[in-house]
Amino acid sequence: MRKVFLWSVITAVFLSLVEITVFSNFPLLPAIPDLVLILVVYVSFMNGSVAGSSSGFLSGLLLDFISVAPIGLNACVQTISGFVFGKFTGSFNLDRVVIPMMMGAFATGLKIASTFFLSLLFGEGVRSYSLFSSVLWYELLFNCNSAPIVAVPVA
Amino acid sequence: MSDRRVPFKFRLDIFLLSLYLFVSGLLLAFSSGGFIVNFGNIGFSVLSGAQRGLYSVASFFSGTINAVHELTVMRKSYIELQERIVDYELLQRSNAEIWLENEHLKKLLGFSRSLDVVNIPAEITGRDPSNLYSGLIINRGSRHGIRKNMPVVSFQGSGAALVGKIVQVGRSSSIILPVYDYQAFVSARLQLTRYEGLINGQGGVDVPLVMKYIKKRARDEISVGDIVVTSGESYQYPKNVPVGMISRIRGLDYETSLELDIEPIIDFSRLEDVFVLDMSSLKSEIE
Repeated sequence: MRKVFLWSVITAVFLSLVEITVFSNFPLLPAIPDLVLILVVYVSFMNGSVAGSSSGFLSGLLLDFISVAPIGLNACVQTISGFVFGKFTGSFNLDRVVIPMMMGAFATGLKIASTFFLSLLFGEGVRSYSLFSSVLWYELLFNCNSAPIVAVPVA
Repeated sequence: MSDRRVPFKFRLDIFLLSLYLFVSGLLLAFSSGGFIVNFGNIGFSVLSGAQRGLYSVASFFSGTINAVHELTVMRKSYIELQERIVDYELLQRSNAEIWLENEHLKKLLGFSRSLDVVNIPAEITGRDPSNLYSGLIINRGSRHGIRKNMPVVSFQGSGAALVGKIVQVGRSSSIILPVYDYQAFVSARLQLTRYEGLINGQGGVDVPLVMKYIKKRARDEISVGDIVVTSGESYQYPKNVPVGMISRIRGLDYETSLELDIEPIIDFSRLEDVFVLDMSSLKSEIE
């Protein structure tokens, strides 16, 4: 458990740095895939809710440090994702493409719902996604597509 | 009477979930309320070092890829033309690159000198990982003299224009909140008619800023294309720095003020170099 936790946090640091340094500097990308979220989803699915929520909390906190988002927002969202996906441990078998893509889509949906709920609780400081914004749909698309790629080394 | 006890089972996952949600909720509340300990700055300081390292590695690889690409182009030229012409082109290209770099540096030096306030030149090394927020990460931090809330400008086209302000400072990196972010508010004036209003970002580079609270009587005096500048109130931003130009005027009959769409002067998609302004020098001069 400790090993999984440590390993997932180190990977989360690396992925978050890739997001801010590499993906965010591609002017053609309309949205940035949330690779850390995908990682948390996999870690949770493979190791259960305890490892999932713990790695989600710490990975989210790391993202909060390098973003102008209020501290605690990503930590909260990733903890919820980690806990929920941990509950599905052993429920179904992972294939290489379809299930990871579905998990990526579901995780993005959960993130959208969580940020919406938190924006209700904490007011204007917390932004939520708009259904009419292209950013939401692009992020959903990118998360779905990047999920099988992140899945390979994790699985 | 039988002794009936409610069985209590400790659930570690539920306990951890509650704990993490409580802590993150607490942090979220503190980060919007200004708690004494700035968790963001501490964490950012730690991570920014690693980010700078990765940036250097990424720059190295992109440089290598560019070099390989250039080599391919040169090889094509070699086949098409004669060896001497290729050598000549190489020399010319290298000269042109040095000349361009020299011009760029001269320009930056000129810009830096042209600013009335003490300024710290910086380079953008990263952008916010979240799609909902839009921070820009620069390679200058507290050890270079950067402090929270310092305004940031850049030069594109003819003169300086507003980029945003510093919201988080690490030891060797900082985060800029650009004017187009939802959380950015800038007190501004119309350059010609001097009507005052408040500019607020709408969250996207491609979405125009919105300027609110313009007196309705200004309707006949303003037109699309007018420049909007900072008002300089409270020394948050220097006075008369261009922010953008009016792209649309909206005024509803039942409202007492106008709303203007403002197209930022800075093209954020190709923004590389910025200048962080130290307003404390200007403030002390005036006082």
